[in-house]
Formats: sequence, C-alpha cells, structure tokens
Amino acid sequence: MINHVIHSHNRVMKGYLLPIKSIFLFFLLSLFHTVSVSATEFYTDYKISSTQDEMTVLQVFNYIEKNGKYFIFYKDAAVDLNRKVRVNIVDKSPAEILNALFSGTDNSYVIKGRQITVFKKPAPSQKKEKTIRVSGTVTDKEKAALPGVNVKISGESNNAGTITDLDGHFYLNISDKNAIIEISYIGFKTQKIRVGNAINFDVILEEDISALNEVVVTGYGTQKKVSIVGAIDNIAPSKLQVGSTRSLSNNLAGQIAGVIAVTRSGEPGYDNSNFWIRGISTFSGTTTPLVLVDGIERDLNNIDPAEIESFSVLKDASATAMYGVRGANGVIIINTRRGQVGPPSVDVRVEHSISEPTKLPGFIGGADYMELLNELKENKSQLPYSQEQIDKTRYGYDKDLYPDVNWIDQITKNYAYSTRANMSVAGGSDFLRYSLVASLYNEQGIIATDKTLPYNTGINLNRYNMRANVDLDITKTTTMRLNVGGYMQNRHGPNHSIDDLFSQAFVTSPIVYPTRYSDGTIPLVSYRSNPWATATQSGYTVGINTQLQSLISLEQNLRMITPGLKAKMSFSFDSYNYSGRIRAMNPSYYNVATGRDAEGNLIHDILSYGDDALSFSNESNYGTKRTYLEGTLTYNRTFGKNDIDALFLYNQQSYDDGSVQPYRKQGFAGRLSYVYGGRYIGEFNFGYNGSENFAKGKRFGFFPSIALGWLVSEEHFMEKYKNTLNKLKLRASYGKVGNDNIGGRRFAYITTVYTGQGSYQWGDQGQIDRGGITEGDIGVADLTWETAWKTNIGMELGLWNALEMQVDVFNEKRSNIFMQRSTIPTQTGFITSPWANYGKVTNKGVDASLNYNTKINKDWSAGLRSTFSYAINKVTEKDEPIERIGTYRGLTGRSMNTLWGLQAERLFTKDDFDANGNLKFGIPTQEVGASTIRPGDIKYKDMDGDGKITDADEGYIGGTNDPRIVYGFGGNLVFRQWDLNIFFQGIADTHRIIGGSSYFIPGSGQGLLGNIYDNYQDRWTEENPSQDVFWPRLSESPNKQNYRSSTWWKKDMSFLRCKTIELGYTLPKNIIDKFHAKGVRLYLSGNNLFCFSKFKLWDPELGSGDGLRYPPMRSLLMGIDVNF
Amino acid sequence: MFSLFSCNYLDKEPDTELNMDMVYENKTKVEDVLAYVYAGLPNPSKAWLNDIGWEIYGDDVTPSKRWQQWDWGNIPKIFGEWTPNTGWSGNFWADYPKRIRESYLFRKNVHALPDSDLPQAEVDRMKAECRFLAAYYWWGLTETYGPIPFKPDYIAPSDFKLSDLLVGRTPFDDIVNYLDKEMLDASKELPATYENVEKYGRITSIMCLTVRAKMLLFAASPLVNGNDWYKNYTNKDGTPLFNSTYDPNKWVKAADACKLLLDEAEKAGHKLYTVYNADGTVDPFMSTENMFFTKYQEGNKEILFPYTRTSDANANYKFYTLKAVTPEFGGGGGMGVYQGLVDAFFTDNGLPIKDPNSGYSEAGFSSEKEVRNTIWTEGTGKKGEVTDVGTYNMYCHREPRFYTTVSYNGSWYALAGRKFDFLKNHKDNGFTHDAPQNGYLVRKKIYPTDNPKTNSWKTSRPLWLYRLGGAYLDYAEAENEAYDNGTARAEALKYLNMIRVRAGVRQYTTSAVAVNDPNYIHVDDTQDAVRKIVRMERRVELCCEGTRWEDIRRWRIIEEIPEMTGDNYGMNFAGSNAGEFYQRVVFQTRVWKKAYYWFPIYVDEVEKNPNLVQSPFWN
Repeated sequence: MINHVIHSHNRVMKGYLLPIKSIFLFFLLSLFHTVSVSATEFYTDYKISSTQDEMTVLQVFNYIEKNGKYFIFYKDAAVDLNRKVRVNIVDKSPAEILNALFSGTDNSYVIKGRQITVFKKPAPSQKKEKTIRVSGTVTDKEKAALPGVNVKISGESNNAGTITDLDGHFYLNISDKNAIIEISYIGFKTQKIRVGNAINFDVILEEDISALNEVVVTGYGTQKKVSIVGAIDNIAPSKLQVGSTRSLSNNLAGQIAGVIAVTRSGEPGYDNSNFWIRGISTFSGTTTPLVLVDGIERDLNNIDPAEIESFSVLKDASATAMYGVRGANGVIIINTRRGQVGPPSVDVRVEHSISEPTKLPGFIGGADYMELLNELKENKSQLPYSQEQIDKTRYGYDKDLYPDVNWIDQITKNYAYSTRANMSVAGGSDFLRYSLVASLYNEQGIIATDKTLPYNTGINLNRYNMRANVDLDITKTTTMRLNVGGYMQNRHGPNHSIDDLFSQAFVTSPIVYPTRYSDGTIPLVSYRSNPWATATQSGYTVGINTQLQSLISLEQNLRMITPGLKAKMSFSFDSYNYSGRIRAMNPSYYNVATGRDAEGNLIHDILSYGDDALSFSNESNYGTKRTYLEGTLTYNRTFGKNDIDALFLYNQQSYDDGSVQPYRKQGFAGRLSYVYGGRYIGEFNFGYNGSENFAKGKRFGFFPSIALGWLVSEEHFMEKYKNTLNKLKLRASYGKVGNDNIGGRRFAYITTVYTGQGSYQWGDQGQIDRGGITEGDIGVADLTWETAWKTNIGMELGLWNALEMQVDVFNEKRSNIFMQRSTIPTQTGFITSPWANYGKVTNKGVDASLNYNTKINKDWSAGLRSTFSYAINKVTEKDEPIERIGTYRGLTGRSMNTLWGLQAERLFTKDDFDANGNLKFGIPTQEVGASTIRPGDIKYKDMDGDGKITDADEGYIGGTNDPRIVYGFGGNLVFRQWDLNIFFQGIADTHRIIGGSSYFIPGSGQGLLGNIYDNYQDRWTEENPSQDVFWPRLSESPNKQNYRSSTWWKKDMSFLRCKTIELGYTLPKNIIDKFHAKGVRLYLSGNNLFCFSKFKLWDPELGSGDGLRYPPMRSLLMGIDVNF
Repeated sequence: MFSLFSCNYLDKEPDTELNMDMVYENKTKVEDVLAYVYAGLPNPSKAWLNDIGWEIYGDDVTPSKRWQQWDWGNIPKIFGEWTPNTGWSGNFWADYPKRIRESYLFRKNVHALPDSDLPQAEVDRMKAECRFLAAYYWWGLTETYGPIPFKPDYIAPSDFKLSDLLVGRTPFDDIVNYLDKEMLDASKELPATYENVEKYGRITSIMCLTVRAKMLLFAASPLVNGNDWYKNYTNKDGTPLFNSTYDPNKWVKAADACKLLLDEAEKAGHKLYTVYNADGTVDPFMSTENMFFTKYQEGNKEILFPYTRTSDANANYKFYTLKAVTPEFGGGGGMGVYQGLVDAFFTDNGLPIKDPNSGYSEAGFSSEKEVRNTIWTEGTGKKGEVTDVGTYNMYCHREPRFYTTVSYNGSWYALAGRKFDFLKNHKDNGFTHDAPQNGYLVRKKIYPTDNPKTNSWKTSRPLWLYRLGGAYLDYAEAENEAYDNGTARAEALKYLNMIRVRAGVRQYTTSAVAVNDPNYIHVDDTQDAVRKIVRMERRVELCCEGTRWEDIRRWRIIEEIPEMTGDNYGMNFAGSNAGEFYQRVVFQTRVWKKAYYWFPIYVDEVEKNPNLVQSPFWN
C-alpha cells in the first residue's frame, strides 16, 4: 500500500527526483521485508502468481515491485505509464511479464539483482552508428555511492542519458569517443568527462558548497547552512591567524558576533583572554563557554590557527541544548583540518614580529617626587627631604647616594620579538586522506635581563604544535579517522611572577636606592624589594606544558540498511602535563649606602649574603587526563522537497586531574531537523544527560529545544527580487540548557570533611600535633544544576549577492543558580555557607554581523565586515537581605558584578567649612575612613539620608568591568597583486574602579611605597581649587576618605583599537611558476597600532586598577606564506 | 572502556574518602577535631600585637605609624580611620562561631573507642574541654562586641529555617551568668594539672577558673556595671542590653571567683616566677625578664593558661621580635612604647615620678654608673650595671621593670654589643618608618640575642594567655571594690605587695611609715587610694601583655588618657644631637571615639539579620 502511495507521485515528479522515490522505497523494503529474506533467493526465477485484468503499465510495475520485491528504475519520459495493457502475469517471472509488456514498444529493460532498469531503446538512426558501451560508478567524496545521478552526453537531451542505480553504477552507450559525458546531481558540482579511450569511469562528485548545500559545523556534526535555524556563527580560520599573539582567544574580540572577549594581560604564556558567549548569565560557577576541539573538551588557547579547519560558535538553545548540562554558557566548536583527495598541498607560513608595550604608566622622577612629599608635609619643621638632596638628585650629582630610578624602565626592555612558523601538508588518495600540520611559536618578553650573567633570565616562550589527521577508508563504507595532535610549550622566565615584578616596580620609590651601586653591589632594605634585582638576579624558572590529544573514530556508512544512515564510534584520550623547575639564586644585598669614605668608596655593609650558584628545585608535576567515548547514529536524506537530518548520540567522559576521583559526565543527545522545499525549517534538539554532582534521581535532566525557520527568499513570489534580495531568512528558537559546572563543589549531596584546618599542639614540647578537622560543606540532597531558558530570534539578509547581514536578538532566563547561601548570619557558625539552587538572572542582547564584498572591476575588489555584540544581564533573584532589595544596596534588579562604592558628588570647597574647619551645619558628616575632612576631599552622597556618610552609604554605582558592548569592523581592498586589510576592534560600556590601595594617590605612600603618576599636577590644590581634576586633595599619608571605592575613581574604560593593518603582496604567477609554487604572499602587518580611549594613564584593556601588569603589546610583523 | 558504559557511571566511587562518621572512629582524628576547637585561641604574641591588635588599641606599644602601609591593618583605626566595614584580622565575629559550632558537634558525636585507647573518662574530659572552649569563645565575642546574639547549645541543621538563625542580641548580664555557670561546671570536670607532659596545654580546671574570674571582673567593672551611656541601647523590641543600674554584688562575685582561682592555683602548685640572687634576695631584673623565656616545666609555675601552639614561630615570637630589632640586624626597628608607659614606671624607690619624693628628674645626664644587686647584664653589658654614665636622667633610678621593658637611647643593645643610638641618621635611626618614631623600642619579651639577620632565635620559650601575677592583681582589684573595709584592703595589698616584692620595689602599707622607709610606702586606708595603686601596678606589671586595652575599657577611663585621645609624645627622633633629641615632642596624634569601646559589626551582617542592632554609638 505504501508503495502505491509512493508511485502515485511519479506522474508529477521531475525526472531527476525519481531516484529518491526508489530510495525511499528501498528504505521501506529494507525495513519491512528484507529482514528475513536472503538476498540471493529471488534473483532470476522468482515467479509471480496472481491474475490480472487490464492494467496500466504503472500498475504492472507496482505489481512487480510489490510482489516480486524488485525495484524498477525508469525515467518518466521514457515510458508511457498510463498505457493500458492486458498481460498474463500469473506465475510469470518478471522477465516474462516485462517481455510481454514491452513487446512492440521502444522500451527495453535490464534486470540486475533486484533492480530492473527500464529504458528506451536507442533510436533506429543511432543504431546504425557504432556505439561504445561505457560504464562507471558515481560516488561522493566520502565514497558513498550516489544513486539517481543524471548521466548524459553533453549537448544532448536528458532523455538520451541515463541515471545511476542504487550502487551508483551507470551504463551508457555513446557513439563518439570525443563525446563528453556530463554527470550532474543536485547539490553537487556538475562534472564533464571526455570519453577518450576509457570505458569505465570512477566519478567522484564534489559537493557544490557555494550553493545551498554549504555545511556548517554544529553540535555533534554538520548541517547544511540553509537548514540552520539556531544562532550559530562561524569564522574563517584565516581571520584568527592575525597578530603576533600566542593565544587564539586574543583574536576573538570583535571578530565573531556574540563573543565578548577582553585581554587583561600581555604576559607571554598568561595572555589568554577572558571570553564569554553573549556575556555573563550567572553569578556562580563558571561563565565561560564549553570549548570542543574535534568534539572533545579542550583548551582553545594553545591551538595554532593553522590547525583549524572550522570555528563555530553556538549561541542559542537550539544549538546548545544537545550539550545539556554543559551548554548553558554557549559552545565553541573547533574542528581541525582534514585532508582532501588530491596531490599534496603544502603551505608554509613564516612570520617574525617586533613588539613593544601599548602603554605603560608614566612616573615622575626622584626630584619631583621629593618636592611633592615636602610640599605635602604638614609639619614643615620635619620636612623629609632637604633641598640639597633634591638638587643633587635632580642634577645627577651622585647617582649612588642620590638615586633617581624609574623602576618600570629598569625592569623592562623596549622591544621584544616573536616568531611564528607553520607548515601544513594535506592531500589524499581514494582511500587515504591526510592533513599534517606543524607549527613553531616563539615569543620573547620585555622583562629586562642582565647580560653579564652566564644564564638568561628573560621571558622566552617556545611552543611546538603538531597534528596529523588521517582518514582511511577501510572498506567502501567504513572510514577510520585518526587524529593525533599536541603541543609542548616551554616557558622560560624570571624566577618571579611578572605581575609581582610590576607591582614591586610601582611600590618601590624612585629615590630609595639605585638598581645597583657603581661598585657592583646591589642595595636593598630588609623586607622591601629591589625590583631590578628581583627581575634579573633571582635566577629563572622553566615551565613545560605538554599536551597530547588523540581521537580515533570509526564511521560506518549504513546505506546497506538505508542510504543516508551512518553510525560512528569515537574514542579519545587527552593527556596534559605540567612540569617545571626553578633555578633560584639570591644575590648578595647591601644596606643602603650612608655616604662615601675618604677614598670615595661607598660606606655600606652587607645586608645578606647571596648564593654562590643557582639552586635547583622541581616544581610539583601536575597532570590531567581525559577520556571520551561517543557513539553516534545519523540519518541524512532528501526526499523530494523534504530534507531530513537526524542524529542520536551517546557520550561519556571522564576527566582526571588527580583529585580524589575523576570527574564524569554521561548523556544522550539527539536532533531532528526537517526542511521542506528549502524554505520551511523545523528543528528539534535535545540533550538528556547527567552530572555526578547531584544525588541519584536528581542527576539526569532533559534539555529540549525547538527552532523554526523560514527562508523567505526561496518563496516563489520572491523569485523576481532574487537579484536584489538574494537571501532572507527568519528564524527563532527556544529551549532549555543547563549548567552543572558549579564552582568547585563536587558531589554536592555529600557532606565533606575539611582537614588541615589550622593545627594545634599540646605537650611541653608541642609534641602532640593535631591538624584540625572540621565538618566541611554540608551535603544537600535536592541540589541540581542551574537551568537556562533561551530565546533567540534571528534574521539573515543577503542583498545584491554582495551584502550579508545577520542579526540575532536573544533573551535568556537563568534560574536555579547554584550558589552558597549569603543571607545566613555568620554567627550561625557554618564552616562554609550551605549550597542551594537559588537565584535568577536574565540576560538580553543583540548580536549582529555585516559583510560586504564586491568586485569593482578586473583589478579592484573590496570588502567590509563588522560585528556588534551587546549583552546586558539583570539579577532578578538573589539571596540577599530583604531590606536591601530595591535599595541602592540591592543587587536584585541590577547587573551582576555591578561596581560597588560610594557616590562621589564633588570635591569639598572652602565654603563647606566654618571658621574652625568644621563642616557647616547641614552638610552630612563623612565617617568613611578619615578623622578629618578638608577642602579638596571627595564629598560623597548621603544615600540613606541619615545626615552622615558611613559605610552604609556604599552601594551599587553602576557599570561593570566586563564590557557589555564589543564590536569590530574592518575592510579589505585588493588591487591586482596587492591586498590591504584593516580591522578595528572596540569595547564599550565597560568601567573600572582604579586605585584602592593606600599608596595609589600621589604622595600618600609617604615616600615609602608607591610611585607618582606623571599626571600628578592634575589635582586639587588650594591655589587651584578646581573640581575638574583627576586627583583630589593630596595628603602626606594614606587617606582612606579619598582612596576608597567611589564613582570618583570609576573610569570609563571603553576603547577603540586598531587591531590590524595588513598589507600583502601576492607574487604574480609568472614569477612563482619558476619556484614551482602555487602561490606566494608576502605581508607586513601592524597590530594594536593605536587606541582611542578616554582613559589615558595606561592601556584601558589591562586588568588592573593601577596599570601595573604586563601590558598588551603593539607589534609589527613581517610574514611570508608559500603554497606548493 | 565499555565496562564503564553503565547507569552507575556517575555514582561516586565507593572509596575510603573520609566522612565525619569515620572521624569519630579514630582517636587521632578525634583529637584533630579537638585541635580545631582549640586553634581559635588567640596567639598572645603576634596576634595580640598585630592581627587582633589589643596592643595597638591600648597605650603600651606603639608601632611605626607608616607600617600601616604593609601588614598592620589595625594602625589606622587608632587614628580614627575606623568604620564598621573596616577589616579586622582578629575576625572573632566569623571565626568564633565556627569554633563554637564545632565544639558542640564534637560533644554530640564523640564517643569512647575502648580498642583505640580512648576510654570514656578521656571522652568526658574532652567534652568538658569543649564545654569550656565554647564558653571561652562566647565570652571572647561578648567582651569584644558587647551583648552578642547568644544561642548556646544550638547546632543549626542543614535544613534550617532562616528565621531560627536570625538571633538578636542577648542582654550582657544574661550571657555572663550563663557562661559563669558553664565555666564553673567545666572546671569541675577537669583536673588542675595533667600528669602526662604530653597533655600540657589541654584545658585544666585552673584555666576555666582563670577565664571565669577575668570575665566576672570585667562584668563588675564600670563599663558594664551601671553605665548610663547604654541606657538607651536596646534591641529593636526595646530589651535593654546593658544593665544601667550599678550592682555592687557583681564585684563580690568577681572577688569570689578570683579567690577560688587563687586557692585552686595554689593547690596546683602555681606561684610567682622569681629568680633569686646568690644572697637570697629577689633579683627583679632576672625575674621579670626571664619569666618570658622560662617554660612551666623549667620552673615557671606562674603560667596559668599556657598557649602551646608551637608550630608557628613567626606568630609566636619572630614577628614581635623583628619589629623591635633594628634594621642593621634585619629588623624593623620601629616598635616603641608610649611615653605614657615610660612615665608610668615607678622610680627605684617605688614611687610614681610625679610624687615629690620620687627623686625623679628630667634634667641633665647621670654622672655615674648605677649598680644594683643583679646578675642582669642588659644595662650596660656588664653584670649589675643598670645605667651608664651620661644616661639621660629620665631613665636613671627607675624601677627594674622599666629597664626590662623599655629600650631607650643609650640603653644597652646586646645584639650589637653597644648602646642604642636613636639620634637622627645614627645607627638605629635612619629617620625612616623603620626607626623608633618616638625614641623608644620595646624590650619586654624580646630575647636579647635573637638575631633575625642570622636567623638565630631562642626557640624554647613559653607563651601564655594568663599568668598568676595578673590573677593576683585581679583579685586585689575585685577585693578592694567588693568590700569597702580595711580587711579587704589588707587582703588586696597582700597580693599587690607580692607583685612588688618580685619587681624589686617597696611594698605598700596602710600603716604609718616614714617617707623614706626602706621597705614600705604608706597608702591611705581608703578604697580610692587602693584602687589607684592597684591600677598603677597593673599598668607596669602587665604592660605589653595584651591586658591594657581590656583594663582601660572596663575602667571606662579612655577619655581621661591623653595619649589615647590626642597627641602622643616621645623623644624627638628628628633630633640629631642630644639637645634636640631629649625633648618631649608630638610624634603622632590619636583619635578616640566613644564607639570604640566595642567593636562594630560589619554592615552586611547587620543587614542580614533584622534582629541585630549595631554596636553602641557605631550608627
């Protein structure tokens, strides 16, 4: 009966669709019939027993198919299906029936196995010519046979051709050796082959990627781009191969709509960016996306861009629901390169760059420093510095006794170098395809070294990446893939944290001592530091990270069951190891010289004796390993106007970082996507998975999502606008995702024990030493993951085949946020506050991208691209005291991580005080850290209106460190062999409260701590009682009243940065032919060249409240890219 | 690989990971829990000085003000930079409740392990120790924050009702009455000493009685006994939190508690640590100095409440010592004592410097060495020489405790084998923050040859929270206050004089004696007169031992102490010759607010608990 239904379509179907019917038929037959029947038993002599009266040809066909379990292939035009016939079909073999059926017609047939192909006999005129019978097999590049492919002689009508059978075979009679066979199939590039002397052809059709069949990497696989209804963005890997930075994450900002990223430090090895997909939606646990490399959770920072084939960002629920409890923060999917059939293609790329800090804070010199401190000293009879000392410092009288050191200069070099080289080879034969990548990255740092030492203490980072991806067709339907990749990173650096060096350089005053006395001794004051000596004289460390990544998978094409069905099993293990050694050395330090003796030698004695040689110690080794197992079943077919894509998957992973037992995850996921007519798209995704963190019964969750899309531009009524509006897609998705990564609390249902909680000893010698054990985290049985309900509405627009725009609006509601209760009075005595699922956050925003590419004329082409991401979150429920909610002290209703402090109104003026120096009546008193208030001090707002400024007037003052807006834009221009790329990137709606330390404000370090920023004159003084100044009144000692967190110190850290300017020159073909190269490109690139920002003291992107961190680098890069 | 493929894949592997039930099955781990309860005891060296900061808050020890730039978070507070949210490393508010909860859990769960040498009797003792420690921590909170939210013997469950946890403040007297009983009961369950030296440091009945006596003394004192300042200080429901009516009976209770302690202590063999000269006389120099370097087992039976957490040498003595050793030897060289303390020491005839008969002079320099009957060498480097020729007269002819407490300009610096030189830009004064800001360094509790530069230390030394000398003075004070009669005063003087004898100064008597009587000083037979001399004695006997802050609070006299409320004087460290140096000049100015009598509560904590009112005068 079902067969009838299928056949009844025949009349309306175009010829090329016919195979699809048959395939579906085959599918059904396979399911309902063939299971119990051996394939060999009905090849030739199967008799059909029935009686029939007059029938149509079609009815006869149906009868044969139904009763004889044959498939009949034909072209509509070749057979008159409606012809009424009367044939005896009782106990006849199909051949007998068909012979009778076709007698007297120009139809003929061939029976092969269960297939019957019906065709038109060649016209009599052709018969006269000598024909050649050629045969062939058509497959796709994965060696899957393509049935129903049109095969014809070029220039002749379709009717003259044939179609491939189920195994992709075809037979064709041709009359002329010079004839060209044209092989065409929807979704694939048409291939033309000159016949020549060959009679058998193996044809591999290449998918037509430029057409609607372009695929996009999505959750657990790929999907046709046309059928994508989730918010998925991808970026060409070449866009990520910019700049001289090691970490891939540094190239994300502004490049991909929806990704918010900031680089908070430029320190080699530690310059990974913080990045989020669509901002932050939770105040607990992790907020970073799940990053999968070849399907495995891996770090994206240490992948070399050359290893990458595709980079996709999954943003909404439909794209991430399959990841269930792991998908709430979005997913980044990176696939590494795979080989293609073809001769080896070799690409070699070498870059060398020179870099310098974008901006370091500037400090004033020693003489100015002392003058300011004298000026600030209230007791003028105890001025800390004499005029003689100041003058001698200013004029460099004796730099040993009157030092004047810019410590930042002393611990840094002006320039650093880095080199990147990579080579990739890819290619393949029919059964083996490979891609091999090797890369080298070297980066040196700007930390100063002492060239006189026999060893180097400078920062030098080497990273070697290798990857070999091999695809092997074991049988025609079985493919084995083996990915082996890894890296080793070797970081050599000073025996001291760089951030610490910078803060020492900030803390150490310019006049305390020189870096080193002229007699070679190194000065120090006990419990202080000599930053230069710390940087250069303390030995060095070597840290080595190695990672091995592996993946083996076996994919079985199950087309013998039904075409389009595939099964795949993957197993992966990764191992990561860190080892390090410290070669430490303490130099001998001398006390500060108190003068010179009669011979002019410095008078100073030794403070501490140093080491004679570098010591050696091993850092504790650290390693992790991860195993992952996945089984997948996919089904992917097109039936007429119906496209079906289904996936079902099981996975489990175990991650062992050496803690008490491995971290485990387990789950199922599935997807069903349906496209009708290339226009209407529906998709259902689910994840069903669990997390060990929760008690049995609370462990597994179901995470469904649905998405719908409408490709308006594919509607018939839009056809006339096709040249203008080449694409218009509307889509929407809604679904649920979870997050079980909850900030370190494992097995939340089990009460833990804390050991080592502060020891106590008893006994006359303290001989009974007990370590301290307490109850730890209290287990709570009904804890579970946090859930996110995500809505996404998107539009994709293509105009004039040149402009592409994509806009997505999203809204996410996160609830059940897993957190520690924060309203329990500390008095209750819990060792740690109990955990609970408590809290809700909504996160809204928009992300958009715009691309425009045009070829102006033969010589010129140009492109523009831009992205924009905006995300703002709001806490809608938080465990905070009820009295706070709705007040300036409540977070509910505000963004997470909103800055906190007092509201600065202005600086106090003289008019605010009476003759005794007391605040006039009516002005709120300020009890926020200083016992006295003076003109020039910051005046705060009385938030609670009690007439006093106290700690209780602190509250949320708006703004967050993490930007809410990230954008990027750029363009490229190609003129003949020349190309120019420019890219700008910016962040906005980002703030930071600077300062906060007692010695940040000029002079408040009392000459003991802290340097003085070179904008120190931009301040309130009695002579210049301006409100429009950077610094409030300076004081001779720390003044908490002025340095505490407030809107005065809240600075707008927005910036727009020229991320890249790259000029390339591709050598003309006539030159490169001489080198047997396919392409050679030379390029010169500048990165982070300049930056616009309202904030001037240091690089606004730096994650620091005082500018004292390893800064982002500006670099100039030269490179060559050769392709063989 | 496929064996993992199961529904139980996510089950926590059954292994031997420790849980609380297992803890109580193992004797060592039981003691580990007990150790946690003990570990809240404050370290009397670094913590009292720096983390908790009692020394800083009082007016004995003065660290260099500019050290606030580093690890001295308590310094700004004494200059008025103190708000409710100012951090405090002592952090009793958060820490002590944890110790209390753990002690309750311990008492609930501990049980005998007969097979593991943990018999029921030992379990009962441990429970009593925890009972005392919980009371100790409750009192620590009360003494610091005033009437605290008090919910004794309550262990909050994991499925708590939040409203059960929002406890308001409990009236001060109610807390004290409850804790009085707890400590007394605990003392009855515990021995006065342990035979086994390995148990030294475990709570004894003496330790319970010591803390109880201190608590009742505090509770009887003017700050909390009928102080009308707090008349209107109530819970939100109007419950008064301090009793504003004076109750003399509180002194009686305190005196009884002190007496009980002294009786029990005596029975247990406690006595003042005294070093005698070869001729049998007391050597007050060696007594008051070596007391801090002689352990109980070495004969220092004065220790009532030892602190035996030996593991942290930095906390126990290095940090404190470093601050008083000069930069030349790797120290900070900037921790001095207030001029007020210098002035508080008696002269060698036992009279205060203001007494016309004291012989005190601030003019000029000594013309001869002063030699006393002692083997002490820290005066000039030579045995018996207390001061050298040319010593500023302010420092001459002072009582022995002055010399063992204060390093002044020209006093002996054993580590360097020379005299201290505090003149500006001289050896021990680089005119920086690491120099004696007011011309003094503290000497008490500093072992003379401890050398940070070479890292050589006296490692074997005792630490304690309370000693018998303090208990004598507590008793003398309480007795005098409790009973306004001659008998009581005689009893008070008896104990006061024991301290003075050991300190090498003349004793007091209410009898009429000559002004220059070699053994006695007359004191009027009145409560006021005795109160005055008791307080004077406490000041110099217990200085730099963490008790001064508590004393001036409970006496409610801070407003009357110039150095606590305003300008602080000392010798002029900007003086580069004797003439400039030996002048009383202001080196810093302190700020005092009435609110400072009690610690504030973090605003967050007040907000969390609608039943909790902020500490008095902090709003």
